[in-house]
Amino acid sequence: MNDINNILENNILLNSNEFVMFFNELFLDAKHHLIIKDALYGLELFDIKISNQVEIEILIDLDRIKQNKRNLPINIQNEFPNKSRFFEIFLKSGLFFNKYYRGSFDHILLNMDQVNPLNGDLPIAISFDTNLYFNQFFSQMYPMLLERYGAPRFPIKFLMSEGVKKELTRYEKKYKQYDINDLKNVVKYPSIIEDFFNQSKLNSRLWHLGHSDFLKCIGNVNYKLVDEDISVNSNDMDNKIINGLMKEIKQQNIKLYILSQDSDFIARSRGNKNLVAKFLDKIPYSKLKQLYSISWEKLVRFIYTLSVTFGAIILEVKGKPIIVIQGIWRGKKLFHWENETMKICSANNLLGKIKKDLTILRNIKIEERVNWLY
Amino acid sequence: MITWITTVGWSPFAVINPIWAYCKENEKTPDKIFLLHTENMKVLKNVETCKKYLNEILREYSHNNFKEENLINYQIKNETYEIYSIAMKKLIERELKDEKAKIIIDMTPGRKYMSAINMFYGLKSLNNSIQVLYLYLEEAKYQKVPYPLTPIIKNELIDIIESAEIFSKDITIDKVKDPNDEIIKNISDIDLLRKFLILRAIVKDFPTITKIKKYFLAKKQNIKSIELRQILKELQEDKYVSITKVPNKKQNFFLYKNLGKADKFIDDTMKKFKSREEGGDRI
Repeated sequence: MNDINNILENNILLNSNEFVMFFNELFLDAKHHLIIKDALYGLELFDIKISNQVEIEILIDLDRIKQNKRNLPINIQNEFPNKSRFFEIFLKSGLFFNKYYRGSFDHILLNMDQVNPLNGDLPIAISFDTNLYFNQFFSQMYPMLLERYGAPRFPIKFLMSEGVKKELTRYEKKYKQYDINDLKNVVKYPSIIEDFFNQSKLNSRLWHLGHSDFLKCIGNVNYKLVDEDISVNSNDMDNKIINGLMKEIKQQNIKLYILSQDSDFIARSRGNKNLVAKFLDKIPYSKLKQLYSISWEKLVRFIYTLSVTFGAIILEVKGKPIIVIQGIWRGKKLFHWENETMKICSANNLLGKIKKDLTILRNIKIEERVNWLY
Repeated sequence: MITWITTVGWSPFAVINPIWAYCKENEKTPDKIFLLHTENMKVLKNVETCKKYLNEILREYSHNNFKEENLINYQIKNETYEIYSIAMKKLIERELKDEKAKIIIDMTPGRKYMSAINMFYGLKSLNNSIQVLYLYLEEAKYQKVPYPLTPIIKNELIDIIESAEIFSKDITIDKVKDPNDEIIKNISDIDLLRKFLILRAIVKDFPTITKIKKYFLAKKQNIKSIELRQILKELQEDKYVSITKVPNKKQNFFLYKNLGKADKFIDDTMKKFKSREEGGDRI
């Protein structure tokens, strides 16, 4: 425990677009083989080898997560990711994107690029249902947009629904001191949990993550925010969202691709003029491989999603904890969510080395996102 | 006294990143930097961008000791090869008047003929302390990205003349030949194989980074300098090798020495490799 307390004494905040600096310093310090543990269950989750590509070996099966959750006191169970939340980390980090989803997006973008108004083609826009932002689909497709169109703002059009935004902004629940005390009684690293005070609880932070994806979309494409149809006389948000979009399709005379992972939503969207509803299949648990080989950029997304989902993670080298990465911490603000900031704690001198380059970069104030893929 | 000469053209990061890499790798800065450029408007704008970055980098890495006036614009009329050659000649001669001077010519930015001229001066002045560096970038997508935001494994700052010299020389077969060479071809545990080869290279008197790379090449194995440095750091931490900084006229380089444990590691590992070959545990 002393190790962890020492580690927590020094920290640095890094945005996701600066995070490669951290891996660079780890690599230079010959710390390229890491074990990642989560700060809640305290389980060994991944064995990571950083080289030209990054190898992620999963050390735990989904049922063990389920079993560990069952063993927890009932009052705090909600704060521990279940196997489904754990599985979503891989989806949200884009580890399934190229194999299972990229084709659908390529097809839509190709259709958009081929629109010729001189031939009477209707302009094409895209719309995402709530679950797509929740699962970080805009962040997942971001590298392919960079590849296709160069730097943002990308020349594609998004119709975004107020109804979707309302669903994504349900992140009001925060940890009070008594929640922290309850958690500290069961977790392996109570000193890390201490820093969660007044930060979003598990479900809230996952919604927050979804809303950040929504905001990222707004920041990088041409968009219009469309009201949901309040004339729909029920609490049926799906219907309100679809009707709101339909009104816009008629008014603007456009064709809209709407994408969702909810088959009911897709079913209800079908049969409308100029509305093409595309269902994106959910990936079954069985598709989770034991070993992934990914780029450094994808590793950044993976670590970010992991640290937000679990609140914090611990990186060990040769059986010794050396770094804590926090997805939430006392004092985390809205702009930290927007910049996908992580708090890196370490007693190792790598923080000093990062600070040096960070000072240079921040002094230069690279306000625009540098044009690199991730 | 280190003087860095570089050429500003269309891509500011081709100028900035090699200097950033040099400062980071060596934990020191050049004392003087010449930015050769023409009077083209876009180039002049890029000179300003370069200076903005370089001032910050040099201030930070020199702990505020770098003097801003030592970041010098050196304008040439136009970029014909005649004018570029003459400008380089004048600059080099002027700087080498100081006997302690060392010149680094960065051939990362600029056009092909400039690189050729840079190499010409580098080769011609071998005894006059001129080093020609090149920042090799593995993927073009990082061309507009500041050095620290690029995965370090995708970059390599290369001493071009030294590398070309070492890699173009044939190694005496006897020096690298080993009766067990066939065995290592089939080893799939890359980490173990690399450690094994590095230690064997050091034992066989290939004691520098470039020479170890050459040894790897002779064994038909590939390793990047950054990966090599990383493994050497581990071996150093585990007390297999020691490292000594050896200054010569051109640069400091590092000599790696076997601390005695290496021989046992090599023997034990070879036994493991052989046992696999004979159908034992898979490595």
